[in-house]
Amino acid sequence: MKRLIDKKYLVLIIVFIVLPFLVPSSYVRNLLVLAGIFALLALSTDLVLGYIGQLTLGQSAFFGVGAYASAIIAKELGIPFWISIIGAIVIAGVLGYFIGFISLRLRGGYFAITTLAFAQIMKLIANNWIELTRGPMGYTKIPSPSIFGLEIKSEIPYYFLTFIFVVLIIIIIKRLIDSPTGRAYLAIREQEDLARAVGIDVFRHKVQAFVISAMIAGLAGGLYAHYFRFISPDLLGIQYTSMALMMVFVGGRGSIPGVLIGAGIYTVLPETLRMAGTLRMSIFGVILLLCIMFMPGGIYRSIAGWIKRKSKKNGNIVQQTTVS
Amino acid sequence: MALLQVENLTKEFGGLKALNSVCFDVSEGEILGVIGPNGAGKTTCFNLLTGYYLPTAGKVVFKGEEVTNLPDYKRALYGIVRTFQHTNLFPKLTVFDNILIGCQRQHKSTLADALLRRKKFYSDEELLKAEVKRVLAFIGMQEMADMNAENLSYGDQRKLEIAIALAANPEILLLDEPAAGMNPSESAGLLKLIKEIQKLGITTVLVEHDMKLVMNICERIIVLNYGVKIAEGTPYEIRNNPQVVEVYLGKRK
Amino acid sequence: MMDYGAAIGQQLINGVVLGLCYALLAFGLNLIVGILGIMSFAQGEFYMLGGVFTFAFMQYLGLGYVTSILASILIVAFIGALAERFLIKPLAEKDMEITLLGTFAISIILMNLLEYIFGNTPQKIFTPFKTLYNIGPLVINQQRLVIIIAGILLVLLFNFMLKNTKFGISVRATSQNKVAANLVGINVAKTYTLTFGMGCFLAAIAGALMGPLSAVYPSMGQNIGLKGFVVIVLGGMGSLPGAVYGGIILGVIESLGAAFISSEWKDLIGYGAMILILLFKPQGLFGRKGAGV
Repeated sequence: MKRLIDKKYLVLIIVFIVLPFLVPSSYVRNLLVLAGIFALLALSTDLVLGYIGQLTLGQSAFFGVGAYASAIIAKELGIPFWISIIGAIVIAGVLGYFIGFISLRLRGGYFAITTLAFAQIMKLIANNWIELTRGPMGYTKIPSPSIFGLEIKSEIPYYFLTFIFVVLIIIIIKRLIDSPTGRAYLAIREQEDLARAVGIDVFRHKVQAFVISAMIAGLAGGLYAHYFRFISPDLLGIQYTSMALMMVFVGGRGSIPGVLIGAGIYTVLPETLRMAGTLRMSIFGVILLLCIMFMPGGIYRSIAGWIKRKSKKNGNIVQQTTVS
Repeated sequence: MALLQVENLTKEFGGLKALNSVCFDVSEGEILGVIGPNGAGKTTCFNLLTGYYLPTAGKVVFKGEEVTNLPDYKRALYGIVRTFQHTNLFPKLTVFDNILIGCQRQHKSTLADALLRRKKFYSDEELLKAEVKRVLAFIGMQEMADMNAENLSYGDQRKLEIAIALAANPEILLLDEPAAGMNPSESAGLLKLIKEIQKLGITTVLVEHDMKLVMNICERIIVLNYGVKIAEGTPYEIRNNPQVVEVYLGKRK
Repeated sequence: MMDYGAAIGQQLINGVVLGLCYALLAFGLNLIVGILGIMSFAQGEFYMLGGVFTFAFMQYLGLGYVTSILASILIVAFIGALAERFLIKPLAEKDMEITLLGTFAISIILMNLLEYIFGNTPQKIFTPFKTLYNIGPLVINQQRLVIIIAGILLVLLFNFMLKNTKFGISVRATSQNKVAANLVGINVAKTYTLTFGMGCFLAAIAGALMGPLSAVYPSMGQNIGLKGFVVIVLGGMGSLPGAVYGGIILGVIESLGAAFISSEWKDLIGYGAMILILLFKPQGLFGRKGAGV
């Protein structure tokens, strides 16, 4: 058996463990939690965008439904976070199965508008099913998670809670991708006809990836709800889908480090520059556009490629000198 | 019993019969060619065998089991594996990974095995890698294993396509114009490869334009014209069939 | 009983008015889909620009309603043409889905930029067309009448232009066969740019016309962009008459639904119908597959 986590990642993990203690203010620690939650949302989106290559515009539906599900289960039924979050994952997964089963029959642009329509329908429900969601005013006083009787409420404990989930999801996605199932996804993305010709059940795999993606988005939503302890139907809005798309495409779709970098840049950088929310969105829209035009592999691949070329060049120089 | 039986296979497109009540058998281990002038229904016939289209009427029976309405990917699991007329491989992946995806279905471990990284997952991965190496050795592309498929020469790309199909463990291999666009030396290489495949005990059906290839390699040939089977026999018989000469070979002279 | 009939009649009028606005927007969207082959997610934002610019010209420059509309739709058409030429065209040369994402990015940029500039408070456009007319028990205000007349005239005008002018013929030729159009000397790139601009122009008119009846604000395009797709799925992708029928049907259904079922849930009808049609009757309600321009 291989180790759960490779040695080379240990350094990174240590950095992320000490990070919240190094940052100056609770405002920045707050951003770190947010970055973790958005990273989960972006990773979930990338499973559909980057691995089965379908442009989904409905990710906010699962994020929002996960948030509401966990909040409602925990508050109305008085069930602890650890179970309500599982409820959120399951409910988002079931919804993902339903939406995926319908929309994945359609291709390209039709798939995109169908997922968008479903997200709008879910938002409509969140706004108008007032007995359940309390409507546009939002759902408040969501209980914080607790462990051994201690509430996980302030930024640092919640940061670690989120961090553990992010690591766990990264491990799951990595193992999924490096498996026959992940190769089937890749085959579907690259050449659907050929995938079918070698016996891959394309539709089943697409639905599967879509459901896993929905579950991860649901988890992200649940974490969001119990952290802010207030949620509103805006969570199901297209802004969150746009945000996830930006993180994925700017960072680099189909690459875990790329998506994480995307999430980090999106959440932390402009906030520290004190930019207003809407201006940030439009600037990121511009970055997204520039990325898909000039850097289709995303920032991560461009930097990685640049470092590779550079080191190769240096390597060549070394070789030449030894030869001469 | 024949390996594959085609009974009264018919396909209509908006009232036009692209294929009209065609019957033939494919015996185990043979190389069968399907030829005919343009628009004769070759491609339609091919697409019905692979499950790309479903027929208007008729049956396709594989090893005594009806597969007429099975979707394409399920047929592949039964052992009916196809290649494509236009180059179709995974261009951005390495030759090795291309073939690895081909033999994907031989993986018996579950998703849970993969997520928990159980022993079964690792042992199955090793098995697959050995299988890929076997296929690479068979087609003689070992030293290209790490190249991206898009960087191969045209001839090698077409060879890789057949390798992907072979990796899917076919009992019957359906080749759609494998020699299309090949130069004489590439097509000679292809001929050799198909004969090697026969030695593995795999049955081959090829739909082809290249008469020389078909005549040289096929043990039996079926000739289609306007969606109807007009002749069936050995290359010798076909060459001397006056009807075939008239509709097909006659044109070439 | 009489009241009920009058209420239905009133909602029918409102529905047709709303429907004509949908029709203009969707007519433009269908031009883009049919000719460039691009599903534009920015159409709703061009509709929004039409409304917000009209408001801004009236509010900040003191221009009249009609002048403001004319100025804003020309500017929006120009912005659309620029977007096609410098953003969409280079993307479309690469990949269709990336192009779709590109239009999505354009919509994000436009919406958030306008929100940054103007804020997201709904604003009312004051129209000079305020007279009320009584037709039996029904009341119709002048603005609605203007929309009906303008809507019908515009659809007829564009239809005539596509059928009879040189530009229209080159548009139709390009939509049928790009390569052949190029061969007979049609400037395909220019046709694409103009078509996209025209599509945005139509969306902007719809936004400017609807402004006085609802309100204008930068995020108003979000739902309407998707409604545009609902309409063209109802009427058939790429079919221009379909866009008009589809628009009116959606408008009427929504008005009746809002009045007699629930105004909160009315959007559900359109979205639900679109999903069902895509699944079971992808060529749209009016049959013909691949109905041309």
